[in-house]
Amino acid sequence: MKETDHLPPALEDVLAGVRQLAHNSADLTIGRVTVGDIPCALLTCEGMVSQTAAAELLIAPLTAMPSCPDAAALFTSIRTRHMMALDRPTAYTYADLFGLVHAGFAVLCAEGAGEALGFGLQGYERRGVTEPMGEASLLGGHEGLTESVRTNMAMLRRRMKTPRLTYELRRMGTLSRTDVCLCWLTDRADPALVRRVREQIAAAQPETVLTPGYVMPFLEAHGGGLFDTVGYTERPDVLAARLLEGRIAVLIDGMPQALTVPRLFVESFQSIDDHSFKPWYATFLRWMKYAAFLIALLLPALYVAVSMHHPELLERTLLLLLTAAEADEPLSLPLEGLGVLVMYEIVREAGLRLPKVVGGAVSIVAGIIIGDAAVASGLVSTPMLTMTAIAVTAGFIVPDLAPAIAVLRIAFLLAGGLWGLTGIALLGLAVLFRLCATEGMGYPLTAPVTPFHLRGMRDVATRVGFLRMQHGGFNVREYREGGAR
Amino acid sequence: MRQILRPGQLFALLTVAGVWQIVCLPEQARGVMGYAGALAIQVLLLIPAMLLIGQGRPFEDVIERKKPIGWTMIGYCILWGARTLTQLRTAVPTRMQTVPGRGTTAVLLLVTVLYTATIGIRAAGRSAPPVLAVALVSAIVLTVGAWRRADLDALTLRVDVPAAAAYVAGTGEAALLWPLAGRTGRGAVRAGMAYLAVRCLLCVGMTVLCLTAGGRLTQGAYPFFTLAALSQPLQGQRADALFILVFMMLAVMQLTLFAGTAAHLARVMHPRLRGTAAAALAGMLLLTLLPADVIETAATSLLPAAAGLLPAATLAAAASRRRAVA
Repeated sequence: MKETDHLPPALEDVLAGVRQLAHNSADLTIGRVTVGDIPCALLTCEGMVSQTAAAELLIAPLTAMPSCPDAAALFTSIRTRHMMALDRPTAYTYADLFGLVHAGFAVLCAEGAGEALGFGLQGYERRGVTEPMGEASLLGGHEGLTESVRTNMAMLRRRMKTPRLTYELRRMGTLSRTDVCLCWLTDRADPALVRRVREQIAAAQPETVLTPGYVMPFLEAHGGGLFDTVGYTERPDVLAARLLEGRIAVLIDGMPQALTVPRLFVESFQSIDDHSFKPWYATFLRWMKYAAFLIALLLPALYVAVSMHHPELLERTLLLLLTAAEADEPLSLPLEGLGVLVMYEIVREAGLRLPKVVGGAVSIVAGIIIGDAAVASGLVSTPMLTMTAIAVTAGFIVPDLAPAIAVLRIAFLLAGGLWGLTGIALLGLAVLFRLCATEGMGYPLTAPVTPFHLRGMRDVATRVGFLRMQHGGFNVREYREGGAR
Repeated sequence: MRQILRPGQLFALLTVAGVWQIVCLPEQARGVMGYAGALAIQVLLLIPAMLLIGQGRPFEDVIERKKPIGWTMIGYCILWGARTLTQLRTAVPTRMQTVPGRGTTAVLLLVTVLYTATIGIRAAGRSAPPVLAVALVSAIVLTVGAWRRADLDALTLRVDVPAAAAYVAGTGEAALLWPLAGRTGRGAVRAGMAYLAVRCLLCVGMTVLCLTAGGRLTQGAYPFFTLAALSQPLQGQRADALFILVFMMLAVMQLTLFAGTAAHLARVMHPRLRGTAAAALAGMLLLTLLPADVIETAATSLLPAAAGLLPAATLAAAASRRRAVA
């Protein structure tokens, strides 16, 4: 018996096959019932079907059906005269049947049919719509995407009531058979990009899809390195905005994030609130974020490099102050900085992984230990701690880049400590080259800064007024360079 | 074939390389007027290349059929890369106090160039605008710091022929205009003209600063470094360490330009070749074993041939072919 086998006509053979293939799985329920004087069985997966809907919309009408001469007549009658569910696919093989049962359908098998009828009555437990955890907004909506792909599709549709918004549902994962939905605006997205994303998803055959990380590698550029070439968002309004700019989104069942391609580096500095604030304030915020990124990346390294190797750059009073603070420290500046940064990463990770109640306590204890005891005991100097704290706080402003910042900050610190400004300059240039070389699906990550696109700069160097922005008709397709490097 | 560089990137890349040459100018001009003549000579030299670019005849198409031309240009790039390395060898130890020792600095620089050149000339083109921006900001900082000492009476407008000749002889990157222009046509021509103008303006600006703010102090070797030492825009004791950042970036960009172009041209002729950037860099290092004046003479002698004669010969060959067909 194989999953690809066709369903036999005899009901007992069908049920025997189902039991054998499912190895009598405990969550498979088989309810025998006679419908229209024909012996039938209703197959469901426990916890996946809404009991109320099944009882009211399916079982009650089925049991009240008039007598039918055979299974074919019964199924025809159900298909043409009864509206028991909106989604009523037919299964011809065991694979189809299991696909439906495991997706929360109630599946009706009848004696002599050779096929089975599915009824979309899904009713599994799901989390409601809540505020997104990572993308809070002051002036925008407070709805975040949920784990249900269909809920997410509906949330997006509510914001884009146009037939040009197209959804394409696919299955991904040889074992998990996870629903993956591609969505795009037909008049905005580049058809070549749509084709390419579709091909990449079709070619990807992981066993299961449990986090966005299972799908992202199939959409990412080769050798993307430190910087992501796939964007993600938890907000349906941000998702709608990205689709409007010609991007393609991938919604994955079980994940409250949508992946978007192509991604631009400047997206990390943009937020939905930028479009709610006055342009001058949004522009100010934008530049503050750019500065924060550089501070987060370079401040500890510059402090170490200048203090150790180029003290002549410092003003005399500041130099004396730093000399006094560092005079009694047992560790060298780079080691001090490295220690504080590694400690911060440990505390952050601990706070993230532990239960919330304990996580808060960890943060307090770590804060006291690092902030007070380490300084008091003379292990860490106050200026070093201050520089690190400023850098870490600045990094919070661009959470999308947190992984790259965490690693590069330490690399710059070591380069600055070992080789001074020379080391920082050389490493900076290497990072710049890697960033500039990164492309996702033929779109340079660093556009519109380099390659330079003047029209794109109105939402990068500044944030022009919405009236002007509305007339722009901007599309990310303008940035496409295409081809392989 | 996919376009390698956009006109703006071509401009930025060549200008960054030009800034490096200005930074490494060994002598200060006694007057600023000579640069006008130098600019005119450069424009004349590049006219054949610009005509070819304007006609939409990419260098890649030519070398696919005539490989010796491609290999000549690769040799030129390696030679000029070697010249850059000798410039570094002579300028850095005497004029700049880099933190790592001389050997460590050289190793770090070469490792970085190997990485950047391997990534490719397109990445170099995209990286060039930010680096140029950093260089221009540094130039402003330098000017602000030096301007306090400026004495405009010291400015002389006379023509300094040797300085102008040295300026033209240092324009090695100009020969790469045609190889890197691709099919951008008039855009690349405009980029080339803008590069020549901006390079000349920057050189004039530095000479003005040297003459007015530096006076006799900058008349020794490597005026930029003396000027950097004189210019103290911050309230610290000395700010010239800041220029190490820019100097290192420019050095990497310059070497990447030559190594990356050589690697790119080699791959155009032989697509299956691997490790071309590393080979180009190794070639540059090998050449540095020669005496510095031999490299200097060879590089400056080849410049007119690569920048002017090669495109002119290509133009003439195309014209004679057209006549033969007619």
